[in-house]
Amino acid sequence: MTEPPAPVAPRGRRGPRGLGRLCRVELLLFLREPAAVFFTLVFPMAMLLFLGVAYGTESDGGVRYIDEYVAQIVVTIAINLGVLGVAVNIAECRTSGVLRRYRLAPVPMWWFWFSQVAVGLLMFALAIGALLAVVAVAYGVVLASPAQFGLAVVTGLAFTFAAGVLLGSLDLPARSVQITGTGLFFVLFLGSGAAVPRDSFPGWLEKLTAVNPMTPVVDAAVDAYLGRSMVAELPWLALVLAGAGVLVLIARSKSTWEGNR
Amino acid sequence: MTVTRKGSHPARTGAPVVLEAAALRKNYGDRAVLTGVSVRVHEGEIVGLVGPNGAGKTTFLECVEGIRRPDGGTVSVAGLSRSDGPAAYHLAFGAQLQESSLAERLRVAEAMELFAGFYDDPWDPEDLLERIGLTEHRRVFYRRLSGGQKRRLTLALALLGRPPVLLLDEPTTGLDPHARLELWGVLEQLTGTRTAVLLATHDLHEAQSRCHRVYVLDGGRIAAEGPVTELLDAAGLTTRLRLPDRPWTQGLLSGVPGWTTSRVVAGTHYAYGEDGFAEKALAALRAGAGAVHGDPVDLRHVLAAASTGPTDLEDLYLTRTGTPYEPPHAPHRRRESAEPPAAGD
Repeated sequence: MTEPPAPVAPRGRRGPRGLGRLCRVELLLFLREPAAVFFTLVFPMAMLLFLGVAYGTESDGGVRYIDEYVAQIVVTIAINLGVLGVAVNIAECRTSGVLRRYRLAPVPMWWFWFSQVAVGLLMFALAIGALLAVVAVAYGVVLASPAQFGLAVVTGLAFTFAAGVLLGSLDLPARSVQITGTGLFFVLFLGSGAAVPRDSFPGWLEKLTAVNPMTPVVDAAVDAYLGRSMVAELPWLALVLAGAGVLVLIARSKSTWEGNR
Repeated sequence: MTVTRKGSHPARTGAPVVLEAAALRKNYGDRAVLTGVSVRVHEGEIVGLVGPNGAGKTTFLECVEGIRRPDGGTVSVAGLSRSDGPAAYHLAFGAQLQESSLAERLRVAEAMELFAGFYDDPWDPEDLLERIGLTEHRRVFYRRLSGGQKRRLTLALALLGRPPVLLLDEPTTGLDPHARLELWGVLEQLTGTRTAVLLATHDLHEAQSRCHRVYVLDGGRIAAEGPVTELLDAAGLTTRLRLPDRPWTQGLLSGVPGWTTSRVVAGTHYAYGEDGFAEKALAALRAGAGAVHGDPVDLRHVLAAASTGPTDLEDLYLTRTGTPYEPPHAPHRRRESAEPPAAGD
C-alpha cells in the first residue's frame, strides 16, 4: 500500500458543492425513516380518503366539506413536518452527537439548518403535490386564490419549522422532544380548526383557540382555497410570522452546539 | 537484574510546532477544570494527554476544537485560531470525538462522500475506505457496523481533509483488544510521519507504548510532561519494589543505595529507585531481617509478597500526584501477577 497523502495546509473557503451533498443525504435519511414518511405522505392521504368517502359530497352553505378539508390537511402536514419532523430530527442529531460532528466540519453551521429546511420544504411540496393530485382525480381541485393560499401556508410552515427548531435545540433527551412535539402537534392540530371546525366548539373553547398560532393560518388557507377574502387574517398572519422570528432567536440563544458553551 | 521499559519513542521536538495551547483556563461554575494548561505538539508527533476521568482531558480538547470557549489562554493550530472563523479553523485539524455519531441509516460510502464534499482537496474516499478495511461494508448502514468499524470510519472521516493535526478523544475506549490493535494499526498507517496526533486517553499503558511524549493531567493542571522514559529517568523511577507496608519498611528502604522515593497506598509500599535498587533492597531485607524485625514469620510473608518490576506511567502518576491511578470502569490493578496481601495479613 502506498504512503498516505501528505497533509494539506488549511486555506480558503470551500465551494457550495458540499451543501448539495448534505441536502441529498438529509433527504435520503428522511426517506429512510418509515415514521416520517408515513406521517408526511401516507397519513394525510389516508385521512383525506377516509373522510372524503364519509363526507366528501356533503356541503354546508354551498361549500363542500372536502374542499374545506383539503386546505386544513395541507396545514396539518405543515404542523407535522415542523413540530414533529424537524424537532425530532434535530433532537436526535443533537443527542447522538451528529451535530457535534457537523460542528467540527469546515463548513458554516447554517448549512445544516439550510439542509433541514430544504428537505422539509421538499417533502412538504411532495406531500401536497400527491394530495392535490388525488383530490384532482377524486373531487376536483378548487384552489381559487393560489397566491394567497401559498402565503397562508408559508406562514404556517415558518411558524411550525421555527417551533420545531426551538424544540429540537432545547437541552432535552430526544424521547422528551418527541413526546413534547406530539403534544404540541395535537394542540396546534386540534386547537386550530384543522381537525374539527372551531365554530362547532363551545364558546369558551372557540375563544381560547383563537390564540392558537395555527388558527389564522387555517382560516386564511381555507378562505384562500375557496376564493374568499383573507384580509381579516393578514394582521394575524403577520403576528404569526413575527412569532416565528422570535422562536428562531430563542433557539439560537439556547443552542449548545455552536461553540458557545 | 536490569529492568527494561517498553514503549519509548524518540520525541520530535525539533520539528515545527503545529499545535500550541498556552495557559488554557476553564471553569464550570465554581469548579476549575483547567488551570493554566499549556500543550505544544510538533509535526509528526503522537502526543498523549493522559489522566483519569475528570482530569480535564476532554474539556481541553473541546477548547482546542472550538466547541468550548476557554475562560483564558490561547490556542493555535497550524497557524489558525478560533478567531479565523470556524469554517477556516476546522480545516486545521481533524477530530474524533468521544461522544459523537453518525445518522443510523447513513451508509458507509455515503458518509465518506458527504464529508469529502466539505473539502477542496480531500483524500480519495475509495482509497481511504480500502485503507480502513471497510470497502466491503461501503453499503452498510452505520448502525450495523461493529464498535471497531465505527471507530475506524470516524477516524477516516477525521482524516478526509488531510489535516496537519489529528485530535483523538479516547479513541479505543470500549473496544476489545483485537479492535484496539486494528485501530492503532490503521491510525499509524494513515497518519504516516507528517500528521501530528494529540490523543486524550485514560489508558496509561497505551499512551506509554504509542506516544512520543505525554502530558499528565491531574486536577486541571499538567503534573508532568515529556517522553515517558525521560520522565521516569529524571524522577529516578527506573525500578519499583512493591511489598506489604510495615512500620519499619520506610526506614529500611530509604537507606538502600539508589532509593529515590516511596508511596504507601492501601497498606502496600511502593518504593522506587535507580537501576539495581530493587535487588539491593531485597538483599538488605534478607540480610538485615534479624536486626530490624523480630518476627521471622512475618518477614518471610513480606518477602514472599514482594515483587519488582520496571516502572511505567502509573508509577509516575502515583509519585507526582500522591494517589494511585484509577482507570475508569476497572478496578485498580498493577501489572505484577499477584496482589500483595494487605498489611497485617
